[in-house]
Parts: sequence; structure tokens; C-alpha cells
Amino acid sequence: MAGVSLKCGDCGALLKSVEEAQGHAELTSHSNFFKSTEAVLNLVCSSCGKPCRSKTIYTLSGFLMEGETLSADQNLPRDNKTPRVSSVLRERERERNAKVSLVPMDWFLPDDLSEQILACLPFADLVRAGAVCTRWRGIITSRSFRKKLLHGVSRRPWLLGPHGHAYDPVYNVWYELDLPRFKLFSACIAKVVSSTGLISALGKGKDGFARLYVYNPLTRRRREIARSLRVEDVICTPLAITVSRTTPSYRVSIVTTKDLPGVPVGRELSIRLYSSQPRMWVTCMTEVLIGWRSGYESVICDGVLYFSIYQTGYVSPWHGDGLVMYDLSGRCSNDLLASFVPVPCPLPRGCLMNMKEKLVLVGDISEDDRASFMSMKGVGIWVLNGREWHEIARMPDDLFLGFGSDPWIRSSGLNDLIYILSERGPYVVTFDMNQKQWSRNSLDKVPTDVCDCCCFEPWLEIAP
Amino acid sequence: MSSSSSSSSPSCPKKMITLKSSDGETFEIEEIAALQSKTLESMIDENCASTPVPLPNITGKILAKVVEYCTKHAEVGADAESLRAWDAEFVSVDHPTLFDYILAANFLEIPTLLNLACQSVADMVKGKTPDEIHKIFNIKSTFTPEEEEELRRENQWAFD
Repeated sequence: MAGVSLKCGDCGALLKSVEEAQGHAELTSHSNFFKSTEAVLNLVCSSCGKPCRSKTIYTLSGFLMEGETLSADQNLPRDNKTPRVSSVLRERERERNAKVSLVPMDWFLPDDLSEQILACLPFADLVRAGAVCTRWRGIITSRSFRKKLLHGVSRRPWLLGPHGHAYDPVYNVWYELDLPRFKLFSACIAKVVSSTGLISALGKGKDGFARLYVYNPLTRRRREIARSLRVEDVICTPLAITVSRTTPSYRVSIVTTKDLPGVPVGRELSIRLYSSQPRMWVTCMTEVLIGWRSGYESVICDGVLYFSIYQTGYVSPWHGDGLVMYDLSGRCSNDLLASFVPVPCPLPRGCLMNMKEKLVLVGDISEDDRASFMSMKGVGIWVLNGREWHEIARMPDDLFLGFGSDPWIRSSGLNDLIYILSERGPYVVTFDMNQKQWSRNSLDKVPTDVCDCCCFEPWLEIAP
Repeated sequence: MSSSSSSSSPSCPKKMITLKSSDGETFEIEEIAALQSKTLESMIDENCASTPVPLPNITGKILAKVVEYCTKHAEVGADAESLRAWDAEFVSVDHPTLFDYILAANFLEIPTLLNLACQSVADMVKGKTPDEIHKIFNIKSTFTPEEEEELRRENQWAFD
């Protein structure tokens, strides 16, 4: 934009900056500005010595007499205020606190700078910004803007409730997403997991078979990725979804078990993986476990599937509850029990989540691993480094006590934010992993069935 | 003129460079403060900053403020909290000045000032409906009524 000035289309005045244009607009009520390649000069009339800016303004104001010449004098003291601005108007301008612009603002900036501004907006504001004008919409839906968002600051995830409500932490509001009721999927959805942009839901139909869906709650587009799964207990089926932002693509893993006839505490466990690119299912491994069963929790983190398993008893040595890991690239050995990692809190009251490809566990700080049937004492947050858990935070007592006695707590997290809530409400507690900050937001409506709440990052561009 | 060299001892006088605005005003800025601008930094490295640097895109009024910003941010020992408060005060200006800051910071490649000013403009957009944004920034909607209806319907939750 070198050498560019602004010209008033109504009177021909040349202005050096947006601010000057604003001042001119206030004085004259002119609003027809356009960019000009005419340079704004500090000219002096060689006859009368009056300063001026351009030949145009002097012709119009009658100052240029026949025979007079103009000479450019670059060393004149700067005068960015037009001669006719009175001190009263200057004072009024100073007092004003950035209210209404008389000059259309959006075209002063080239697209890349407008992109930089719009990239600072939270998701809900981006959607509204896309409805302002075609130029803004064009910027927001452009490939370069999407790339900017991809590599930009990670966004605050939302919390999706079971009935199509989504909580936005930036504005502390619930949105009604107008999702089709789950029962329309011809299955009773009992398990929901989420990641960036997408939700995966597992439910058992009346025919006894389980169906697995992937959907984008914002675009309402959905896909059934499995329809005839034999699943004994939907709740105890580890299900996980991971989304790759760069491709974009996703993978869904499901761990199914079946009893072995003739083997009292034996179960055959299978890990199956669905990839969206190309669309296909793969059975990664099948293993027989004696005295173990799979649990509720499952997360894919950095290409590794983690899920909980429980000892059903009568087998030594006693390990208790814990996690096993499976590398989805299939490079490592497939002995699941060799990868067993004990957990620092009882798993029925614990929740696993992927926080920027680190495995995080949120659960009861009681040290008694049989405390699953006792009241919770508090909430702790641990991160897995290798095979060791490190406690990184504890919920302050006043926040925990606010949940009431013996709360049933559910947590879910993504990017930098963890949500912790209780069925009884009355608020959502959040923990910011980056700033190590706890906060509490009152809910104007508390969702029932908090076990079905999950955290997701709203993203329009990912399709199931 | 001697070639530019970094002052290694505290007793050396501070090295200054001169900037010249589009309307002929000149401003002196410490070299260390000028290094926040990638444009000026590369000029200093190439020994092009010994004469006044002409900046034809930036008026004197805006350049004065940019110099003030760079000088403040080059200070050592300033605590983060008070710097944040100073920044908030710095961008409490009217729209046209804020947009001029963005253009100047972009031209001079000062990422901190660019982010600060862009965030300030974004803050004006946050929480506003499209109609409110039209008024604040004097933008006309260029959608047809049918297009606008469709956009709202697509994401009704955002407009309720």
C-alpha cells in the first residue's frame, strides 16, 4: 500500500490516514471515500504562502489564482488537522470512546490482516461474523484462513449435553443445537465419546445388535459406521475417537469382548479400528484374557489406544484396576497385559481424556482403591508420562464441597480445558491446564444424565 | 558514519536511529527498541539505518505512538501485569487510529503490536450480532435476504 492516500469522493479532499478521514467525515458528513494513488503533499502557495495539500482542494476553494504556482515543501511542520477543525470538535472527538465509525472500516485492511483479526474470535463469533457481509464470509471460508486457525491458538472446547444442548465457556451460555433426537437413530444411545469436531455414539437397537454412529453436532451430518455389532454391555465397551485436523480424518476404536464357552473367567477381547480414510474397519488384535474384563474408559492419545481393564478375581497376582495400551500402528508386541499400568484413583469414578496428546485422568483422590463404593473425598488430575502418573492439580475444597455430599462426578476435557460437573449441579467447574486455573460457572440449566456429557471442539469443516 | 555495532559496555551512548513519517516529521528511537520491528532490524543489520529511514505509509501521529510502544516494550524489568495494563491503555483509541496501528505494525513487522491491535479490534466484534457489527464498523450487508435467511438457519443457535 505504498504511496496510498484516501480521497473524499464528495469534495476531493486528500487525507493521509483513516483517522483523518474519520475527522473529515464528522465535519462534513461526507462518507464516500476511496483509496487514491495521489500523494498528499505539503504545498505552499508561492504568492500568498498559504499551506495546502493538493491542487484539487485549492482549485475548489478558489485559493489558486491564475498564474499562481504551487511548490512542494517537504519540510513544513506536520499539520494533520484540517484548518477548519474547531477546538470544540477536536475535544468532542477526543472524548468519544470508539463508538460508531462514519467511514466504512472493513476495506481499509487487506485480506491477510482481516484474517488475523477474525482468527482471534471465539467460534460462536466466527459464525456470526460469517453473516456480516460477503467479504467477511469469503475470508472466513477461505483455505488460508482455515490454515491459520489450524495452527493458531487452541480453542476453548464446548460441552455437549445429552439432549442437543451445548455449553459455550466463553459466553457461559447453552445453545440449542437442534439435533435429531437420538432415538431417531433406531437405537438407544448409551455411550458417547468425542474429539475435535465429531462425536461417536454407540447404542443397542431393539434387535439386540449395537450400532455405531459418528456425527458432527453443528452440521448435523451423521454416518452409521457399524450396524451389526455384538456387544454385551454397551456401557462397558471401551469406545474412543480421534480426529486428525490436518487431513482431516478420524479413527474410531472399539473393544469388544465375548465369553469363552468352557472357560469360566476367560474372555476373548478384540480391538477393532475404523478409519475414515479410506473408509474401512480393521481388526487390530484378538487376545484371550483370563480373570479380566474391559472397563468403561478408553482414549486414543498420540496414536496409542488406552482402555481400562478390571480384574474379576480369582487370579493371582492381584493387580487391581488399571489401563492397558495398544499402539494402533501395530508395531509393538500385542501382549496387552505386559502394557498394564495401575491407576492412582479408582476407575469407576475416574475419567480419561486426551489433552493435547497427553493422557489425563480425573478422579477421586482417595488412596483406597476399593473406594469406588464410598464417598468421594475430592478431585485430582493426573497426567501419564511413560508409565508413571504425575498429579498436576487438585480441586480446591470449596469447589468440591459445593457439589454436595457424595456427588457423582463426570469429567471430560479437550485441548487445554477440563470440565467437571455433577448431576446435581449447580455449576460447572473448569480447569485450565495451561494457566493451572480453576473456575466455576453457574449453569442456568443443569443437564441431567451428566454421564452422557462430553467435551468437543466445534468445527464445521469436518464431516463424518 | 561508523558502521553500526552493538554497544557492549554501559558507558556507551545509546545508539539511535531516525525515522521520518509520511508528513515529514522525524522521530528518534533507540536501536534496541527499533529491533522489535523486523523491517527496521534488517535495515540496521544491513547498515541502511544511519540516515533517516523514510516511512511513506505512516503519518507522524501514528509513528509517534509506534515509537512509544517499541520504547516501552524494550524496557527491562517491567513486570508483565503493568505492561498488560499499559497495553490496554495504549489501544483505548478510536477505530481509525486502531486500524492505523494495524497497518503500521504490519508494514514495520512488529508482531506484538500487530497481535495487540488485532485482538482489540476482535474484542469489538465479540458478542455482537451481525447488525451491531454493521453499525459499529459502518459495513453494509451484501447478502440477499434469502442468503441471510439461509445463513441464520444453518447455525440458528448462534443467532438466537
